[in-house]
Amino acid sequence: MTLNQGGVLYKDFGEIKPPGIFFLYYGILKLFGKESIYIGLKFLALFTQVFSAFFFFKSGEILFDRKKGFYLSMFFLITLSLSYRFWPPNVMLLYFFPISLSLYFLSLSLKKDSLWRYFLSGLMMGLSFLISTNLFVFYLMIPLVSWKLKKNFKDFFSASFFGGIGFLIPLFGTCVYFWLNDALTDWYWWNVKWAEIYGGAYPIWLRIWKFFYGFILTWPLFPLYVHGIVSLKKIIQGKEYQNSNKVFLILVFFILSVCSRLLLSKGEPRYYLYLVPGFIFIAFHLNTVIKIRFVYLVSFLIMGAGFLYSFYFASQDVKAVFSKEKKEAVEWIKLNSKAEDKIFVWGEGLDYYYSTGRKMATSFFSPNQHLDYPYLWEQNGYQDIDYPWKQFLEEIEKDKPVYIIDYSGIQGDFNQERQKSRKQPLKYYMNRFKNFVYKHYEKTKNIGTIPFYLDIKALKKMLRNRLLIEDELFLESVYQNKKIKPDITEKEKERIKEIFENLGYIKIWKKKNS
Amino acid sequence: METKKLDRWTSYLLRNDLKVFAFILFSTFFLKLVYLLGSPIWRVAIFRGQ
Repeated sequence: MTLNQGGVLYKDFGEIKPPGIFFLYYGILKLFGKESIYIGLKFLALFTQVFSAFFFFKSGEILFDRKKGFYLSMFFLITLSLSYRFWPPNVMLLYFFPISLSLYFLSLSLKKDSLWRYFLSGLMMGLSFLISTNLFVFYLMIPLVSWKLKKNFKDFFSASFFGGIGFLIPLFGTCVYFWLNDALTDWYWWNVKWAEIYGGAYPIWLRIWKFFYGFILTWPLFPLYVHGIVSLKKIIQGKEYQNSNKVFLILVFFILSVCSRLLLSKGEPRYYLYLVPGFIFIAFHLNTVIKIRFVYLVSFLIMGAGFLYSFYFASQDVKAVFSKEKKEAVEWIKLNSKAEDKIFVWGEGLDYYYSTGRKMATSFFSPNQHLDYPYLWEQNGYQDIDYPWKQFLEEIEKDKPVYIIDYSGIQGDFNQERQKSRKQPLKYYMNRFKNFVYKHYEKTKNIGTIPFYLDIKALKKMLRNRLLIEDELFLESVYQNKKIKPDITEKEKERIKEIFENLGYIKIWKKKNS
Repeated sequence: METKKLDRWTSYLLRNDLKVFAFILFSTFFLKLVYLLGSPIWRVAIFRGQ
């Protein structure tokens, strides 16, 4: 949207992700138009899956045989259907296409050595690097494979050099784009500095735990993991990689897949898409036919259960797409603002900016994550906190959005609940922002109510200091009565609803006329 | 017997890349279709008359 409105990436829209995904989405927006963008994105996902499966088939044909390559590509497609968390066309799904081509070119160079193949393989790796930063590790495939294939240093060097040139071309093109738009510093901040801060927030033990925990979350892939590990053990024990260049490539591809996943700190199931190709190739290398039918049966049952679970869950998960409150807020903004107006959302604002079509004030679409994240800043010793906050305060004062939408929900105004964990200098910056809002804006609308089906005690804890004393006493009496008589009367329900309606779920602040 | 049939069928499919590509395309569509049939869009459209 920012690009479509003539903005510059990272200067007008900041995010940790490298630029590739934004250019792709922008392309889809141009091709399909705003109304059909979701269809366009589905097509993008479909395109990625089909072409990646095809090039994995072609690579499998070289590394194994044609039939095995075909089964491998089919298995790849089935794997993607085993978890509904794999389905959205995010970076983890889109990187498959360039990486499958890259692997294909590298496999071709095993058949017949050519510098062009290294170059093309590097070029594809460069493209995948623009989609997801952690994929830079895949570049190591080129020097490692060429080192294995080449007899002398000169050949090894030229292969690595040509591959490196290919890898750097997309990066160079991007550099030129940012240089022409005077956004190199912004790009550096988001993709390097912020990536360092965000990526380094979790301690090592937590990262390791999350790495293994992710395997549990992606349980339908368990048979694949087991086959992969058994195959790995066999390759290492038999030192098969020493005699076979193909096995060497499979092993390197597998190790780098694991490394690319390890670079990320969270245990999100979608991150395990980084492991899928590596595991599939190494698992398909397992030549020993497992004689025990029971193993196949268990694998089939686990994967089948995963497929059915994903299917069921995805068909149920409709409410998460767009809440009633969000829809109301969007309609209200559209009615009460002009097309060229700027708005600002405290919380995750992408849906609002996209659905209202109003410009985003500041370059921060997710202040909860990019600015007001006490845990992250504390882990980093508040290093570099001044840069984004100064930038943000400057931008918001300059942009003066017509509305500020506070999407903190039950967390209070601008995540009041976080106040106790905000320490200096985060507290100072947060207060400066709040002072700016209180001075120039007034609360004009509350949308939605806090879901009162939640446990009253938990709500009371959440809302302390923000309730009138009589409301608090009323809630307390309801809570005490609930212990004796579990049902809440209609009258009590009405009163609770009224209390929460006054607090509001989505709060809209309007710029004062001055 | 069944394995033989599967082998014969796979050999036919693997004769050229275009056939394989078409099959991959079909399989991807099929997997998506399975999801689509159970997706809320249809359920809402059919059962709620919206």
